Amino acid sequence: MHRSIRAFFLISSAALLLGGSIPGPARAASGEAAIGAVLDISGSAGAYGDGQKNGLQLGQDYVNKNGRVHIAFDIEDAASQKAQAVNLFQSFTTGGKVGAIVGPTLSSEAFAADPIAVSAGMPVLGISNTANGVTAMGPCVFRNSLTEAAVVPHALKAVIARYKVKTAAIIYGNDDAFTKTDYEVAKSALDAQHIKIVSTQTFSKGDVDFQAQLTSIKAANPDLVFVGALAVEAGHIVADAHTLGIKANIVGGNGLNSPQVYSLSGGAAEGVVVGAAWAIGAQTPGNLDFVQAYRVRFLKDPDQFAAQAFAAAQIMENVLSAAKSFSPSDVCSAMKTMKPVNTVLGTFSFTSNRDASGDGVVLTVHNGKFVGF
Amino acid sequence: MHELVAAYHAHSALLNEIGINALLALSVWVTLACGQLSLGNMGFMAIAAYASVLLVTRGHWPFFGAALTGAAMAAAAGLLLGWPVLRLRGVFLAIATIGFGEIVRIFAINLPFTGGAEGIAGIPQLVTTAIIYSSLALIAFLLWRLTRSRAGRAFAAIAQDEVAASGLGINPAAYKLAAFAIGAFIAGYAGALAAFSSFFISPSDYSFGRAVDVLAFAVAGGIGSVAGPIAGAALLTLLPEWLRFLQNYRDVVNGAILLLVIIFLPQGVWSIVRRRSAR
Repeated sequence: MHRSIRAFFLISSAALLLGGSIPGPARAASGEAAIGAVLDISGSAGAYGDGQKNGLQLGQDYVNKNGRVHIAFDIEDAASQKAQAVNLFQSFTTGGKVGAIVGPTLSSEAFAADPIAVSAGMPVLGISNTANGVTAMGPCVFRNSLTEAAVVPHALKAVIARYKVKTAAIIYGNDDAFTKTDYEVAKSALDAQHIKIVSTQTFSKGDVDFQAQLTSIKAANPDLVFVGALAVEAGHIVADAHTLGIKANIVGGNGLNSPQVYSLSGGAAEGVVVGAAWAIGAQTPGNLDFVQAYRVRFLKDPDQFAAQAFAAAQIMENVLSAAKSFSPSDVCSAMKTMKPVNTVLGTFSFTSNRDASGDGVVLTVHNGKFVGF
Repeated sequence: MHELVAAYHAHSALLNEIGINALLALSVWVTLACGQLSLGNMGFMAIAAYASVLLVTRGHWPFFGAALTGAAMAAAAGLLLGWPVLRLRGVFLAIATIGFGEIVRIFAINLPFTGGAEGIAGIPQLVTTAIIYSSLALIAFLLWRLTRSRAGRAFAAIAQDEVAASGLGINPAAYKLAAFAIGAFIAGYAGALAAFSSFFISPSDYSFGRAVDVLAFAVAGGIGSVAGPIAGAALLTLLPEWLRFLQNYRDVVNGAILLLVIIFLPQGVWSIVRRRSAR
């Protein structure tokens, strides 16, 4: 018994170490445009990657049913690990089978993996990277995700105009790239509007008690509180602010665009204003059909990540039908000259810096649902 | 030959990762060989990674100068940390070193020159596969020589029974501190290699979870010899890529294989090779 198990390990580890059997990305059928997708379906960012995978699969079926071009997404899991994202980018760029790569899920993965695609001339379409400088890495690095720099000032402006805001406070997570960007963007937007920032508080990822920070904010008595947080922490912050009797308008970015904020805050999120890239009830072209199809197939509501993945399929449909061939260089030049496309995110085009153009939508929580502000 | 070159181009990042993980596994192994369970290696890795990146990008130092300076800083931090915490044993030492790793990570988030949570992007690619593997070969050879030396015997004696070892005239505190500093130096050097082969570093690269992964490399490979941790790092780094065809079941099978290794091969995967060759 023991000997055979030992033999099994010996043989399998020998096979592993010799390395001949690492599978590369699968080959697509002829006439199909193969697109690699590097998503975090498992690991710490698994909650995002799952929606992205569903969105891409739905998008692939949608595009292939339209029949203008045949797309095959080769979806691979990077397990929320930088090193796996890098390995996948390397197999995709050297395999000679895919014309572009969609992903990776996290900005930190993009900073490590995108340079590999850049040096190989492979176009990349980020669908959830929001950090500054992602598209600056190379001439073929694009993204369809609206950054915090786009949606946060827009939301702040709307609230300031409606409620005659004079002073503001900021609470943000200082150990996370996304929430720290929130702070920087919100601070410069408030400064630009000549709003006085009366208190700035920080917290760490995973914190559950925000009473200390919010007590200082309450003492400063601001008209507006900007929350730079991801959904879970934001839910606790909104609940604590309610308990402490803070009456200021609460505003947040993409991180707060999640039904979790409402459920975790026990209903205290009523009236919270959120700047986001996409809303489930948005009247953008085909959005209601997309939401319906998603509910039928996956038995849950799509989130912003699924919508951005679906939009990536719609964008690639237009790019590939205009491209001379499905080779990386032709796909990249077709992306550069892409005309505005109707997507579930709205009419979509790239800026000259290959970022997503537009201001996104401003939402507020009303009766437990996100509605237009 | 062409196929070999093509395979290298497609998987060089994976090869580099294996080499760096092997060095990290060796850094844990040095302290384990002396009977100390230290999980602070991510802290040492981070110190050297940030120091060497800042020296190269801002100070325009050459790579090896910066990497060795970073590793020396990590070793100095190891000595400073080792002095108070080596009074602790077993799980208490492990917890103290976890605390150290977290402190370094929080510093990296908050210091003005580390780029905070956003990290440092656009690090030049100065490390090649050849540099990584020649470093690994040299360090593994030196460690193998160490196990055959007086100090190596002392390490083994302390690991077996500290009181009995001091009865033999061995100074456990000095040897434990030396093992700590050597481990910190190797972890730091691996951190510099990793930083200059991956374009980007951020504090989340040096989390506690990664320290546990590295410990698993050493234990699954086998801590009885220098080759064990290297074999463990190679196996556990390759396994997730090799099991990609299982898709959603990948993590389950990966975990099951690790479990089987620990149950049926408590001396690590390398023990199979050792037993074969001993026959």
